Amino acid sequence: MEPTRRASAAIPMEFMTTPEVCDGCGLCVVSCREALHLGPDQAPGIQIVTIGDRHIPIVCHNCEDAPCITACMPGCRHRDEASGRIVTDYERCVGCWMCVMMCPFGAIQRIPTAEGEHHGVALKCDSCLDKEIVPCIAACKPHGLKEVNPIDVSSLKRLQAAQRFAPGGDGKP
Amino acid sequence: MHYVMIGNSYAALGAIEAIRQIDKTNPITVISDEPYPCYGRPLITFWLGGTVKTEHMFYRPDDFYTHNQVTALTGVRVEHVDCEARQVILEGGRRIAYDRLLIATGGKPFVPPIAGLTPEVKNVHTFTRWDDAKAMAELAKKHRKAIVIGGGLIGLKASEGLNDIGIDTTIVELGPRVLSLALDEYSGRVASKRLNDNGIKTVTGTTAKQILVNADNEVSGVILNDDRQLDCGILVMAIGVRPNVDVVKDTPIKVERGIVTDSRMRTSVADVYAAGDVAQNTNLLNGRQEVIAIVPVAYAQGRVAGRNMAGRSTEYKGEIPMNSVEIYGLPIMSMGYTSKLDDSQREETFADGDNYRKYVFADGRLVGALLMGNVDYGGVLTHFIRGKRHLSPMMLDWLRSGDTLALSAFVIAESSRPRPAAQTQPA
Repeated sequence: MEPTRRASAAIPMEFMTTPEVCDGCGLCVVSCREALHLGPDQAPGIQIVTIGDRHIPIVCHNCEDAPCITACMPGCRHRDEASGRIVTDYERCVGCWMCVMMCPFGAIQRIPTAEGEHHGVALKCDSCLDKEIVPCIAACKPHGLKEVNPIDVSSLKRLQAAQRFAPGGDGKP
Repeated sequence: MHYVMIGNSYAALGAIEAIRQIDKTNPITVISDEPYPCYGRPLITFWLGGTVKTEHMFYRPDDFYTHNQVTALTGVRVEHVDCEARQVILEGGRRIAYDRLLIATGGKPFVPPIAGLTPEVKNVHTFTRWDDAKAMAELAKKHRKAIVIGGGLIGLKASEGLNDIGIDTTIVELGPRVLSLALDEYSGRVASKRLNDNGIKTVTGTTAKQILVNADNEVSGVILNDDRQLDCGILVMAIGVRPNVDVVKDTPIKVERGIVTDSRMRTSVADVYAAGDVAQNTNLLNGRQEVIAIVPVAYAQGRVAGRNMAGRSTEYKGEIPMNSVEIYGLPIMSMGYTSKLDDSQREETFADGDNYRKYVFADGRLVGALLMGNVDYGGVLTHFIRGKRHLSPMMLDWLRSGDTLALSAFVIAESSRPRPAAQTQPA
């Protein structure tokens, strides 16, 4: 059965993370873990790396030339045509970790074989297309996580870069 | 314009999907001697072991070929390619004309000569095709013991499938350990123990010098180099795989170890392309032309070939050797060099029980990594090795402490656009 999809998933959208405003509170991580029913020792679809006083959210970039699709042995990862997001059929994942080996962003987690299951799964953010409200976005108080049109992503990224390097910005990336 | 593919696995599928993004109408014919739609070849282990069902073996949905207007000639063997006439000759003599041809025939198991091993000996198999797994499932109904000659990846996977259906399985490996190309003494010991703990026996440092048969010409055992005798009812030959270049024999298509391809996956003959385990292309570690026989490379090369076949000039930049496998809950990942090539390189190892990490450095750069037990975020290391990146002292600290994810923050911070360094780029 086709799961219900939120209205915004009908048009191509992308997650956009804004490290500049992330305060590292970790509520997105908590909400993702809850939404995906993960255990406390299982890494969810979004993580935050803290370097000094900077917090960098790590999440699937829905790459155009996605190495995780190319690498997938059972063919369980594909691009959802309506939304442009890369989604996973976890029932077919065999836990070969080829995608983990190929993802340059560290955005795919190895969930080891659970009790009673045959294979572990390579979990990543699949954009919660079946949910009307995206838990991590809803949880992000500083609004560092957004869902935006891919065309806007590009211009927003350029704007971010410009602000970083502008006098008074926080310097080099 | 008629596109013809010889082979129907990852490389061919990558090419079909790429062509159809550009050219929606011109006919595509795909020819395979296997009687199946494209299936997950490495999954035959899991199918044999009963952990992947038949309906989950297929790489793409049932309507893939009709949806993409592809004529699939399955269960049909290609005899030869006639480059001059621009035709593919099938068994029985039928000729199929091509305008653009992709050779994606994959690998072919290599079986060395062993005393007593003739093609007539029954219950001896290689393990690279679904039909091999099916034959083994059938043999497993009558026999209880198997010997697998070769402790590489294919040997391990064959053993796992057999062991999972209750066959008493022994791996015989000539090298000092299983997966000897990737593993060192420590990691080899961990891997062997994991296999042994799960019921697979390992005999290393020797190989079979003679195959024994019974009165019905069925395999009954092997005699090892050290004169030990092991009994079996099933024998799997998993010494290695070589590029399957049979169809291009006696053609002008240049073959070294595999079919030689350029940066657009073109062979030495016009309008003939090659991709996947049959093709050699740039190994980014050493700049040499080599075969890197893994799924991600096969698909990516196929996709580049497809784009070029459809007239969209696209370059393949090459790749580093790498692989990933899990044996009984123990994941093993290797990328780049898995041990130092010479004294200009330096190794660092971190061992903690079943968790093991090894990094190979050269000239301030990471040139190889072996991860066992904890393989999380290995792709970040792949990215660093492939990009020949200098490591800052801070990056080195993270690497040593095993905080691979922190390195990915650098990848993200440095990518001006939210895209990874693509494996392909418009030329």
